[in-house]
Amino acid sequence: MRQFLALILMLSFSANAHHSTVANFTQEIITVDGVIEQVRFKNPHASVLIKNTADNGKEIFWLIEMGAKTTLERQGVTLDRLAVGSKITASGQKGRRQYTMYLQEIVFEDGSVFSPEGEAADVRDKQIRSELVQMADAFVSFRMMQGFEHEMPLAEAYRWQDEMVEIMEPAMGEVVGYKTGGHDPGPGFATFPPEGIRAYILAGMLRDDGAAIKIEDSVVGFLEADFAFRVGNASINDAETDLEILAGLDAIIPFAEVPDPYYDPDTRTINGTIVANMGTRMSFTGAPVMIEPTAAWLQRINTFEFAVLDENDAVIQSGTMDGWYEPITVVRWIRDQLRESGKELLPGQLLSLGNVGIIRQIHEGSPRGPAYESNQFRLEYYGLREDGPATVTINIDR
Amino acid sequence: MIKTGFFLLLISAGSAANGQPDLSGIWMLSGRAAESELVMTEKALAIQAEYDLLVDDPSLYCEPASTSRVWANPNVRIAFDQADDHVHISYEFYDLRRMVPLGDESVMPDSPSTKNVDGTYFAKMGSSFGRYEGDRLIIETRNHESGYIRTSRGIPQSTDTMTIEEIWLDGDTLNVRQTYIDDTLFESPFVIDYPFKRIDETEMPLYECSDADYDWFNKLNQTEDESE
Repeated sequence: MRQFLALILMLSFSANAHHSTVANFTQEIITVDGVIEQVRFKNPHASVLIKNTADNGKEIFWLIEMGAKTTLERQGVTLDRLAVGSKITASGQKGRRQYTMYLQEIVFEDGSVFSPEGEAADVRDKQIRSELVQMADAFVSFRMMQGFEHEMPLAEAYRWQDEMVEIMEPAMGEVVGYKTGGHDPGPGFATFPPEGIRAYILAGMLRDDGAAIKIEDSVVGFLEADFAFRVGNASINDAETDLEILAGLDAIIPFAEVPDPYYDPDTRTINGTIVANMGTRMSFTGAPVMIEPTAAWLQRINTFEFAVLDENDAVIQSGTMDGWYEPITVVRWIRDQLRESGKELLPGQLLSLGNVGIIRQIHEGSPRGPAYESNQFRLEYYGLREDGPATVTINIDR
Repeated sequence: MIKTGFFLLLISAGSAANGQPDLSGIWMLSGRAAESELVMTEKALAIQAEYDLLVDDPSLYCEPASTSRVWANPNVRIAFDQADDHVHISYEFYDLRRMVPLGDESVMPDSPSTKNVDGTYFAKMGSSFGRYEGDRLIIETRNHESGYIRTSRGIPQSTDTMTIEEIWLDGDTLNVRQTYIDDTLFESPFVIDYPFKRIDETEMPLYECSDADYDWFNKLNQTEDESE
């Protein structure tokens, strides 16, 4: 039987609500005014009974219907604003039964509006903001962030990320740039959108080249070798070719970071990772390497080599950008993603393009590998400067 | 009369033995269901053509039109209580309680398996018996009263209808696959899959269905008309 069933073409359909609006109501939108006679918050239909008085004085009762009480309650919608005696104008789908309507919105005499969808959205937004405050406080306080399990489009998750950052700004400073991840050819992360992810860099996250961290400065943090640019001018927002994009950048910034994605692993989601700003904790920047918008620079940027060394100059791991991500392509992705979010790049902002393939765990017992034992994590880029490698160093104060 | 308030459930939290699914907790329909291609017989098409949602929908009388109709309702809770010799399913929708004895066909009761908390039985939900097959709970149901698998479209069930419900867990998802078998209505079995998610709740509030028909409302305007 199961094999047979598996062969059956399964057609997707909407789970029908108790009160099928398609079946019980037409697509015609009508408007009726009247005075609220009864508010009926019950199953299977919540409704408002209004009395409409026609120009000729004839009074007609209209039933303004909504979803079931159980549905409204789950959405946090109450009908408290619908007071008996209120003069209202109701709009909605005309019912197949005479004098019935499926409510879209009610406008009160003072112009204020009630709609179940609007009320539900307000309740949801309030709940999400409360969660963001808790997540931000948890992150700043080195406590585990609980997952953000709301289903929503990525664009909405990025809007909530904006709010999360606003909440974090008093403790972690203003926005100084952006970071991204998920553009390299390595295996993707289940908690990243397949097309890549973007987060903010805040001023309070920045550390000087060579600054020392303590083990307890993060909870699940790790040492990550990255690569970054600095925005030179606003032309980057309209740049089309790779060289035009390069012309909007003025420097390569040697960049390493210590993300601290301290989420509850059982509840971590893609949206949660976005909203939690990818757990961005500390970013280390080296001396800028000024660049020129030339084909030769494009070539160098796409093919330079790099290595991480310890305090004894021992090479921990090395690699090349050739075959990894193309930096200008990733800059373009950040630029376009920000534009979709209504943002533009500003001169001086940092753009961290993500890991170049070298990560070391700070803490013992990480499921992602053994703890780094050396006291220095020095990232060197070769071939970008004439007088030696460009570097950025994280020291570990044990 | 149904009493106002919460109907408390004792939710077992232990894992079921012998690989049986642990269905404990409160579940709620999540996302979209899926149905197989539906090919109805002439008889079924005739029933469907006669169907008038505004008059014939059993929901107007706070009655379940079918087990499918009950599984399909969004935003209502469902809970399972698994015992050695039965599975008791509580549906918030219409405050239904369904007793499914475990065993072969001989344990199937003559009376309907589903009643509401007031004690009213509903033959449209049929008589059921169940068993575990590996990690699945299988429920077979017969002796249906005529009703509607889909009230919005008038897809009928008849006294010849048999259903098989397969219930299993896949991670955090509870899957219910319901297969309708009725040669008088369907050219081939009609299959509907429902996904459910466990919700972080322990109580089953009363649904308290009332005034589902429009008689009370229609009388208001009739009274107005008559007074003219």
